[in-house]
Amino acid sequence: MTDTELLIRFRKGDDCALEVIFERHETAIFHFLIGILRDHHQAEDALQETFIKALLDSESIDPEKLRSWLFTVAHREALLLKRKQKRRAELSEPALELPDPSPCGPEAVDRNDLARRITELLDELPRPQREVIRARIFEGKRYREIAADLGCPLNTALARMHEGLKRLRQLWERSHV
Amino acid sequence: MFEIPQPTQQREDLQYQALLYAAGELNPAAAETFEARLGSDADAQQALVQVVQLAGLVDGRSYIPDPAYRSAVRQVVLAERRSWHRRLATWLALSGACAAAIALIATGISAKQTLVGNAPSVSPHSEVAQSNSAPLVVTPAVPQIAESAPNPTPGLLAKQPDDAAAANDTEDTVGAANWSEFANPVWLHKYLLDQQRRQLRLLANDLNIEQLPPPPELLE
Repeated sequence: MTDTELLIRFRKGDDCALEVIFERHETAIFHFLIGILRDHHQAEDALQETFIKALLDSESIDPEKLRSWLFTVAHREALLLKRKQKRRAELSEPALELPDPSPCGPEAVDRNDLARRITELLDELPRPQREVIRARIFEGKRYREIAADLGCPLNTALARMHEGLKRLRQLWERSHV
Repeated sequence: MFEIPQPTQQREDLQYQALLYAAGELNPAAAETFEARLGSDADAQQALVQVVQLAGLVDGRSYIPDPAYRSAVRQVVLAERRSWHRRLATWLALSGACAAAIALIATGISAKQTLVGNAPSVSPHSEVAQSNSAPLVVTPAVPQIAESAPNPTPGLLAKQPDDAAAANDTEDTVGAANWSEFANPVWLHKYLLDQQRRQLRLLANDLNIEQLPPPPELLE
């Protein structure tokens, strides 16, 4: 079923269409919001507001452009949250930065297991890509530092990172089929 | 010479920018530009989504929203839709009532104007009292119903023309009362029967017949 059909069904009062719209678009919109806000909880708040505002205004949406409309609303919501956050930070006292609590219990086990499997898959990547990913993800280095360490231009480091991540994803999907 | 970037190169540049932006490594001006671009450029949006997806896979974070948000969205959206339907129904009912009221007022005004133009009107009762011909001449004495006989009763039709009370009524009042009752088919039927009975009585008087035959059925 296309987005157009889904939106038309939703406008006619079909609540099941709403569920399909969530299924189809929430992940991409959420990742987009994470990319802008870099905070899981804020991204969730923005995601909720995005769907509410987009769907309340559904009568004015061109049904063929539902996805781009959702992204537009998400972008607006994310920037709004960012501005609020910035204003709040300017007004309030500098907060004591607490380290991100490490997960514990079953979640920690899952995460460790995932990390182990990713490390195994990482070994299958070409060395230049593996080096950049390790430096960035496991050592937390900035891209410019990595490029300087490896003695290559920034774009080369970025290209290795991007290609390496794509390759890793393919390996991951293949191992889970 | 100015070099036009190739599509592939543009795409790569976009991906690198997305990588740097997501990592918070773009300088403020470039970050602002890229952020503005994210509002309308589908390629930039897709690049950022891809970067977050890939990074999430590697650093072991599951970037999946809590499904509870869905019920919150559903609650707000469906509640708003229900209240919109209620508002629509209310507005429709109000507009219907207004239209009906306007139509009634307009009918009343036009009938009154016709009455003024055609005066004096002739009522069925006065017609019968004066002659035997044309027992049911309907004239637009309607608007005076509301003014002179606002609550006519079906029994009025059963009254005889020689009734003392009816004689005191003005022609218009009686006519208006009768006219108002034509809306009810039962009353109209009774009225026509009554008219026939009166004509027969007048005929009997002319012929000097004392005993009237039983009341006739209305001729179909």
